[in-house]
Amino acid sequence: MKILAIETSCDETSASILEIKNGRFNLLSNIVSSQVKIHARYGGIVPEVAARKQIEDVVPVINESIKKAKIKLSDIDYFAVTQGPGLVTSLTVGVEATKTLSVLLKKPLISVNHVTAHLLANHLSNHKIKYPALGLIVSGGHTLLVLIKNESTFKIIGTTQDDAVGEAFDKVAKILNLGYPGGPIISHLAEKGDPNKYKFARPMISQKNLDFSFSGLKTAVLYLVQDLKKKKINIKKEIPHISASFQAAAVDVLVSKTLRALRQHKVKSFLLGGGVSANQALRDKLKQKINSEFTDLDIFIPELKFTGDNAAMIAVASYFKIKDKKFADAKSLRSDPHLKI
Amino acid sequence: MQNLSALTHILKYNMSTFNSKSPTQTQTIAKQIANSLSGGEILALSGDLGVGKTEFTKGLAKYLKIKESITSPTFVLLKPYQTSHKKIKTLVHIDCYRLENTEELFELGLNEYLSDPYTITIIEWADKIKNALPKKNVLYVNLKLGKNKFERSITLKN
Repeated sequence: MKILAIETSCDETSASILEIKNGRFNLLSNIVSSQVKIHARYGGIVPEVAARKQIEDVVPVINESIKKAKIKLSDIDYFAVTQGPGLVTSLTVGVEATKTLSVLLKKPLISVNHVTAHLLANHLSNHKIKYPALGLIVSGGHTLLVLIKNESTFKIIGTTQDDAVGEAFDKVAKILNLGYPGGPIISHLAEKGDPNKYKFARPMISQKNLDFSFSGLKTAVLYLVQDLKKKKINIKKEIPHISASFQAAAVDVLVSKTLRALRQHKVKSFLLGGGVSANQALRDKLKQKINSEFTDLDIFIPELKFTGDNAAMIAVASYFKIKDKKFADAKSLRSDPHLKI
Repeated sequence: MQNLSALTHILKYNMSTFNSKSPTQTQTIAKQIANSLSGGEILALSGDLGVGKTEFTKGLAKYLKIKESITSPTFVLLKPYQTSHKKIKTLVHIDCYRLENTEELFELGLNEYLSDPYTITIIEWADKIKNALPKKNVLYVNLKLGKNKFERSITLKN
């Protein structure tokens, strides 16, 4: 079976072709728009509106995914798409494109939840994942602890009360004048910094619930920068230390809440997912702490190329819906920017 | 903190400033301002990172008895919430922080919300779309750091 999946929930346009043989995943292509060198038909002007860029990119990205997979469009058995959550205008581009393909080629359509797909991306490694499992989704828009009964049953048990962790990285980068996106810049700078130089409070870490808060951490960095300025301390020299100390605080909160969740819920595996799961400090600390306390637990962390938004994870997620015969109706399917788990 | 009993009057005829000494107090000020709203208003928030714009929005949401927790809409730009308030049915929380183009917001259906008399629209980083806001029914709320780092001064203008 071959699935063509399309993902356009936010800034990236992505298309992927996944082949499944005897229950094993064989990824034939996974194209993300920023990797495609599309000829500048508009004189090199990059349109600012995300959705408009999606409209321009979606067809070339689909074509590229088919070319890379060395197949024909008519070889596709199923068409899958991200229904939500995300930006409604961006989502609609993917949903309408996929509906069109499904109707034209008379092949079933599957709608996928972007958030849970981040966790299911771990199946791309073809390792056997035992359920029930605990999932941690960390991205620019989400910070969630999720109980996973099986590949199609999810329950949120913890969430951020304000900013998502990826957003905190971006905003701290902004406070430190480091540019966008903040995650990779801060984690790079943090490598050369002392994570213990500045003591940032770990928000909500002592609370028994499984919720997160990152807004106060961002404000703490702001206060520190203001204090340093007042004392006429060279901020540039301190940036690696501030980055390392901030990252340590954010990672600490994520790890400790994950451990708390693992103590409360008996599971067989732990799954990480989302853009911030590319953060090396988080990957290392999660592995180390979970391994030392829960020796029998299997830990799944996605390959770096599957951490950000990509269509391969949508293809995997759709496979489990195909198995359950949960198909979408091309006439009535609409994007849902606030789609719940 | 000033007595806010005559707030509606102040809002109609004046500019006024409130001082907050904590995030909780910022929420309280927001709740009292919310008390003077009747639906259809737009609250245009401005101020730097970390001054309490989301905290202010949380206060407003508490007044409107919204059950869901208010989380940052930075990535989706716009989040609607159903309230349990008698008159005001929907709170639309918008964040222009990531916005590159005003058009983007209107493509998300902002106009429908702005013209709805049962909706309150609260916009963070509203200074980025100042020119696109309607002339009427807009309350400008500016948040600034105060004398010490925990203090905030909140200025209302219409």
